[in-house]
Amino acid sequence: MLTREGIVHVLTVAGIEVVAVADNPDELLRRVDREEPDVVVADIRMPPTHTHEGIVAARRIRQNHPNMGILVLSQFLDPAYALELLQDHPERTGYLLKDRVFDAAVVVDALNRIHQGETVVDPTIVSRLFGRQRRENPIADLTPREREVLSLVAEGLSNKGVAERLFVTPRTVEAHVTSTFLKLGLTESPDSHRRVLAVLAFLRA
Amino acid sequence: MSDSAEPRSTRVTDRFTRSIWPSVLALAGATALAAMVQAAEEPSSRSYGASSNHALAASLVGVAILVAVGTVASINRPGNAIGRLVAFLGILWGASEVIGWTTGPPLVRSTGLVIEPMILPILVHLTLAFPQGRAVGKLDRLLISSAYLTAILAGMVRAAFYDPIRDMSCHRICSNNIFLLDPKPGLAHLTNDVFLWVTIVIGLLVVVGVARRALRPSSARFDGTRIVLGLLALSVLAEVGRAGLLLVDPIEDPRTTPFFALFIVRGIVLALIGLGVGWELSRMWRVRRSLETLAERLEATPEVGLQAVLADALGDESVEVAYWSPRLDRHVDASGRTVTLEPGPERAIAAIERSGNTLGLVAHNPALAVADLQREIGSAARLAVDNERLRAELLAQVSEIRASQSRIVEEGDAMRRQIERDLHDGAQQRLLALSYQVRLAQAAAANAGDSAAAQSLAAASDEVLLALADLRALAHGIFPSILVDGGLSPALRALGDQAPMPVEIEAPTDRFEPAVEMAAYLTIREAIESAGRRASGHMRVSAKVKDDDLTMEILFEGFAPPPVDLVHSSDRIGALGGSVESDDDRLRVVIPCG
Repeated sequence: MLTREGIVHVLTVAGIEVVAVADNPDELLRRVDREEPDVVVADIRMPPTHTHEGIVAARRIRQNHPNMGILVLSQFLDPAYALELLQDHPERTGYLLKDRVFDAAVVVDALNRIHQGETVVDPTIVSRLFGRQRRENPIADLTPREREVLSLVAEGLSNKGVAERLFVTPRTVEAHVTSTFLKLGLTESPDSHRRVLAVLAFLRA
Repeated sequence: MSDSAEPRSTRVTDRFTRSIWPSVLALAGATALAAMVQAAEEPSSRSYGASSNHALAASLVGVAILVAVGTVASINRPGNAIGRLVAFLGILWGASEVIGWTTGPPLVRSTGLVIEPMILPILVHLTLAFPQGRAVGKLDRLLISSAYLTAILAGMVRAAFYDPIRDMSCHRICSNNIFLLDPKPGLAHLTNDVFLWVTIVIGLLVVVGVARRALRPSSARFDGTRIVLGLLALSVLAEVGRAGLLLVDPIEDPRTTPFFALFIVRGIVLALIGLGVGWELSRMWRVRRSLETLAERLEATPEVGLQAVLADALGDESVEVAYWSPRLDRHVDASGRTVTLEPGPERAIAAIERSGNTLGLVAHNPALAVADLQREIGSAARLAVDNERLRAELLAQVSEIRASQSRIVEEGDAMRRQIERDLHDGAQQRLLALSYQVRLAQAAAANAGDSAAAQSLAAASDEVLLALADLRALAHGIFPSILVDGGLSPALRALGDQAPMPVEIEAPTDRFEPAVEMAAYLTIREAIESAGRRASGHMRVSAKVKDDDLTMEILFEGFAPPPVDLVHSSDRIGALGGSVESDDDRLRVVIPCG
């Protein structure tokens, strides 16, 4: 399929080695076992039922290869899918909308972050969660900068990653995160993956 | 069902069984009673009644009750053999006493001697045919006919070849036999022994059969027939006991304790059988009377329905009524569901007709019903039944329409799902490919230094992304995949996420039938959409499962008046047999999901 070939091309041009390509879950699992890649890129919809085989396959890969990165591409904007994927094992896991697969910068950045152990959540999903109407909106009490930091945390970035994005020092980011969590009544976890889940759960609640 | 339609011969037989039989029975019974009294008054008699007043009382009461009840029953239910059998039993019981009337008329005495063995087949027949008057099982019929055959043979051998005077062991019967052709003591003795053995074998088989029948569950509220059956079995056992006793001690002396005790027991049990059958008979009268008032009761409490009223009248919990629907060409119950009534060993089917048209069928326990249920249900009741039938037919048609509505909805959903898939697998893939090509062209233009082209290609790429987003929204609107993938809870939350006003969702994580999930989802979506036009307040949705119903309460706060306009989803809810109720500030939607 053209999408698959396109992704291979985009990744190859970006200097990422594509070791194997598969067009169904069984083949995918076989190739993953044999090639042991750093990161697996999987479509959420695969044969036979074209529903959410990608999430099922990701779980299987997780069981066999706990340290392998997994990036799931999805056409679904509903946060439920992303949370279903991340819930058990957020580290080295990513969820991107399919629209972005040919944006080399986005894909390569996501793959690198996953490879480094981070979590990746599509910004569109985060911004949808931010845009949700709430009766009492604690997010309204945040400063614009704090909001920015919170959404990058929700996208799965570490303090260092957030600092690089916002051109500030990691210490500043840390201070923002602390004050934001305090305002929202969240307990800050030293584990940045649990932190992603906590923020997403908060945004969804 | 009218009488004139019946053939003439049936009516003649009918008249015979209605008038002749009872007279014969009553006459024979009276004769037997008179003979018994006469026999007892004669001091030289060898009858039980002559030896003890208690025995006389027991046998007189037994015979009187059996003959009286049997005669009345045969008048009341001429088609049922039970009445005649009960009366026969009384007459034979009297006949066995008359044998010992040494000084009585030889014809009466000898007749008693010859017909005495018939007690066995009559008792077996009565036991196995009670209460319908017909034995159903093959084995039962075999037992009955072999009992008749051996008893008749035994009686005939007694008549032709038994000379009591030459019998060493005669005691009760030591007088002449006027039917005697040729005295053959060896043959007579052997036949008698064989008959006693046959009595033991058949009697035990009958008792086992009755015990097995009594263990079956009964549909009756109070099963008097079981008590009578138990007494009949006891009576058969007493006959077995008497046969055993005669094999050990052929001299039947009414003054010896075992024979005397057995006689008293037999007498009491037979009297009780008579009373039991009488009670059953009176129950039948009560049933008839309550059937006569069926129309009034159906009219007074139409909501109870024929089935419950009939079950009450017959004292039969197994009553089932099926109404015939000519339009649907099948039987339906009162609530419109399709039913098929099959006859069985304790289940008869009676038809109810009105002016030549079948209204429906009644399945019931024939042991508890009157012989002709169809005739007993009066014409006034039939009008009420016809009304009930029409309502049942209507309900059946409603449920048929509902089913077809559901099918249409389901088909529509399947089609929507296919369209959603086609959009993802077709249009989306093409748009993605397009975005890829645009990006390639953009990179090439940038490399070639054509910044104007690169810029316009970048704009084109953004347009493609917008088109992809639109397509996604469109596909989601056509069919929400998350509903199928994740169920109601995540799907409703996704709805809440995009709502233009705050929406709090509380939903069970259980999965339901796709049609139920879809109806619930679209209801909430429509509620949000119609509220969204005046997004000033907030909504609270709470879905719960209770008693096989998915109940959703949608609370509108800050809306005046609340937007209650479920134009599209109310069809779906209706197709599933659910309901929508609106209140001042809330909607209550109930969808059956059991």
